[in-house]
Amino acid sequence: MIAAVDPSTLPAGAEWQVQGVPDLPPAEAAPTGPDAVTGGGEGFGTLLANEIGKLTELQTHAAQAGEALATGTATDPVSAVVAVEKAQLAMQLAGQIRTRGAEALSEIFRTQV
Amino acid sequence: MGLFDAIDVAGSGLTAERLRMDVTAENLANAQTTRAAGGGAYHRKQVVLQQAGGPAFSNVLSGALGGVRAVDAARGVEVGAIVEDASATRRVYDPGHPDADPQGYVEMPNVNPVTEMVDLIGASRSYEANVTAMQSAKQMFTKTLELLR
Repeated sequence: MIAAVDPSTLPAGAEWQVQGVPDLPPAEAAPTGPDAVTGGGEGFGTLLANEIGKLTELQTHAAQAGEALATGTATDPVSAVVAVEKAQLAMQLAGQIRTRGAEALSEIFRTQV
Repeated sequence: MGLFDAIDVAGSGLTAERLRMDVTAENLANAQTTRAAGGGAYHRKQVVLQQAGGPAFSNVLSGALGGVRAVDAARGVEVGAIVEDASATRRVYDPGHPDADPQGYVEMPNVNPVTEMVDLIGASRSYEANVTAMQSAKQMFTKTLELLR
């Protein structure tokens, strides 16, 4: 969400001034040892692992719902349909993310050196 | 708001409408029943729908603590209760009926087949509306994913 800018609060002609590039944050000390990658809270890897875990959970739910429907133990077909739909959409999302990740990686491999 | 909240909400609507249709079917099936489970003539049953979650303690607490307010969270619908229609049963003169009283009158259920048919149509249309809502939610998600292609 971009906050609306009240023009009256800006100094005169501020919209014509080129904003300077903000200073980059100071470079942190180079990580040492393998723990530096996984340590330090929510890394991208942790995030990815969490999401894949959720995806697996959704797929398992969908499979269980389908099995319950097939064996006749399901009392509510709606929940089975919802589970399958969720699993399908989550799989599509994961597939798109994988495609984009693979594209980014191959882009890096194509870098001229 | 999760990714699939709309699908969950529409799914709860589907479940509720299905139960509404079950109850209507039971009313129609028992339109001539003079021996209900509780004794006497069958009484028409009605479904009372309520917003899911309700004023549960956790919802109120999270709302008071500045989290997602209870009225804002999408939770869908659930069946609150199945109540009996308290309107008077019909008295039909049929002296040959085994359940007739000494005056020859039989207590018949207060089920009006026309009302039940209208309820059936209403439940069916509400079900279709919920299916459409779920399809739209799914299409929106898929269209968003197409942005990545």
